[in-house]
Amino acid sequence: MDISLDSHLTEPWVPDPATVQTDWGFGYSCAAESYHRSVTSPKDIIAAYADAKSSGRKVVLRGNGRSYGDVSLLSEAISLDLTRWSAVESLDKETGILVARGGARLEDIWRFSLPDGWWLPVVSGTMLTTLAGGISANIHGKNNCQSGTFGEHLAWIEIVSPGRGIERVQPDHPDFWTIVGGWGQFGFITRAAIRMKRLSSGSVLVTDHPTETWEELFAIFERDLDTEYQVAWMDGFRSGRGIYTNAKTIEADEPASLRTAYQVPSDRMAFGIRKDQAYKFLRYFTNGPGMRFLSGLKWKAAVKRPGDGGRMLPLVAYHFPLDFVPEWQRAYRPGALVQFQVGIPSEAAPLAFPALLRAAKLAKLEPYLAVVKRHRPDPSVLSYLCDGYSIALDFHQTDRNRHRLQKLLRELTDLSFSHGGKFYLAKDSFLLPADARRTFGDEALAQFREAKSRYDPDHLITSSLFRRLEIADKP
Amino acid sequence: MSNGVGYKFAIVVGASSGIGAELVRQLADGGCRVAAVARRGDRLQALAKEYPNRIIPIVADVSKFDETPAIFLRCTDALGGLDLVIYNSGIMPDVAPTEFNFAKDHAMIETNFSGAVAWLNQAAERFLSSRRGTIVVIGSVAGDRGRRGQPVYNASKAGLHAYAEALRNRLSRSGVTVTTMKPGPVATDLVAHLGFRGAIPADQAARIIIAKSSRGSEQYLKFSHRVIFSIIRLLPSWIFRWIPI
Repeated sequence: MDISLDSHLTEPWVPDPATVQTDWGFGYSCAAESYHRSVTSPKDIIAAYADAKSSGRKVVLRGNGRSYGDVSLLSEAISLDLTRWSAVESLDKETGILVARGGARLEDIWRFSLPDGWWLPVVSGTMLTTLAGGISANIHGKNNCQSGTFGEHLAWIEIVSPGRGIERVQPDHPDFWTIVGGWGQFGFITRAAIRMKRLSSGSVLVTDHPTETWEELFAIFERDLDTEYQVAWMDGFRSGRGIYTNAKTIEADEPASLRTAYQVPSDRMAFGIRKDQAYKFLRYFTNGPGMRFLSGLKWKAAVKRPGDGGRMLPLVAYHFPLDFVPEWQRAYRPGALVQFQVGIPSEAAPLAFPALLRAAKLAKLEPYLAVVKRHRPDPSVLSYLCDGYSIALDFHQTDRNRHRLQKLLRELTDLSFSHGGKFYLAKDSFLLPADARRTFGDEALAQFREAKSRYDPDHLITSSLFRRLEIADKP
Repeated sequence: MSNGVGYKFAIVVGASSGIGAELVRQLADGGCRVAAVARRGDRLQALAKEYPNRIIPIVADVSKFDETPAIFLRCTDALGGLDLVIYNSGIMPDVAPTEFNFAKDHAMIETNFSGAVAWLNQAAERFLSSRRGTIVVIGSVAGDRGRRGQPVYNASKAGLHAYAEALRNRLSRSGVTVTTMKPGPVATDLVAHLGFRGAIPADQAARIIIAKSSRGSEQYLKFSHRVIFSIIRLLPSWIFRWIPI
């Protein structure tokens, strides 16, 4: 469908100060005040584009705010919120094709499909990601090495762009991999069809292997490459010490385990503490000594746990443990959680990861948490994965350490590039334009900009991150 | 705090001279982007040249109330956000002891009070929605009592204090801070004709205002002012019949 934004231009749109909302990046490291508008139909999106054009403002597309940095933030823009356009529309129980609206969260999708034995082929570490956000970020999960990224399991997407209106795009379309992993810069993804994964059981068998050295960790990762899910938690205070975990879906016929009641864990944790209040308790540990203590405790508990037989966990509890500790990131307040995530090729990762942690230790800014995953390259134009490993480091930013942390992040970035690193924009709040060029390459960026000029010829859509990195807009 | 002055984006209304110009300078010097709003464009341009990337001159007449919403939006758009709004516009024309000139009085009410309501209503609506922000109202110790010399100036500032207090109470649960500053004599154009001795230099006044901006109550510039003007507030009204100012 073609649209003419000019047909809406009767008179310039005037923003209403009473609609200004403060949106935060997930980690509270950045915020923006923008004119909030909730979308309840594709027509609303087109009207918002027209209003932006008539008033000279920009549009920033926003899902459920799970990105850590400023990829879906822009001050003084129209912030389009898709979370009310969220129905799961259909599931073909024969083929497993599920159609949902862009604002549907992964949680809405699994709650709809799992009782019938269909699971999402790829999930992020949170089920609160919207479908549109997940496609725009081309999310990956613990099964990245086996199943690739979310976009690789899509039958089609429907996008509403300022330049081309409503359009259905399939994987064979030349722009598919520009839009998927395109960070919402082409238009709102209003619907998508996902090829779901058939399951007969809603449980996974999880096995832990505590490690004491990086060599040990990488050896296990490579040994288990055929395993469905692989991830490692690493102690940010003691380089090389960690817990490698692999998991695989149980193949037995267990329909009872597909029920939601089985999947959702208790809302209480140890000592009867309500999980939605846990961040208040965690605040006391959100400091160097506290996290050092908890990390040591976690590792020792894993060492003592018998690991040979493994343990059964519901899929949901395994994939999204932190979602059952609502607002856990508030434990970092009044500071902020800044995550540094980089992908490094297999051959360089054993050198790079210890070097990153060494630099953090020298700066006396040890990450409170480090997570390592195994990856394969992704097909997006703005590709962020390589055949190798990623490491995500969680740093606590405070007023006092802000400048030192920025300096350290710069050092870690340069160090990562020297090992062939690539960065994931969902986690970013600190990269520079030159870093974007090194991560994606000039050719990919040119291809991205060329598509952007067709889908959004007036450059109505942008975000603080895209301005900062000068990918398709300049500040 | 995000920078030296704790604010990233500010609007100063009444920015072309005196305390306003100093507030703009000091906010900009502390790393803040400032929309400097005033009628006198030439003075604003000169001010903007001091910090070209941080001061945005916006020529506007606060008594043109219909234009306020659009100018407010222009300011926020140009700034790229908003943390702080300071309403500093004020006039105090020379009024003779027997003069009852409605034109002068009306102009004072429009600039000192109605303009504040027009601007700060915009700020309040936005901050209420975004659930954060700071509003600073530059009142005056002259608003504490009704004196012989400046009946309408006193009344306009008293009205402004009451409006600011109401705004503070209204927004108290929304994360919005409203601070009323009550400067005593400050060496500015406004009071030059009164020849006050011991007036505080404008740059010092601005520094104190920024430092106290987040306190969210009525503030005097100095402790001695608080003591003196608290006593003045308690004096019986008839005493002011014998004080010429």
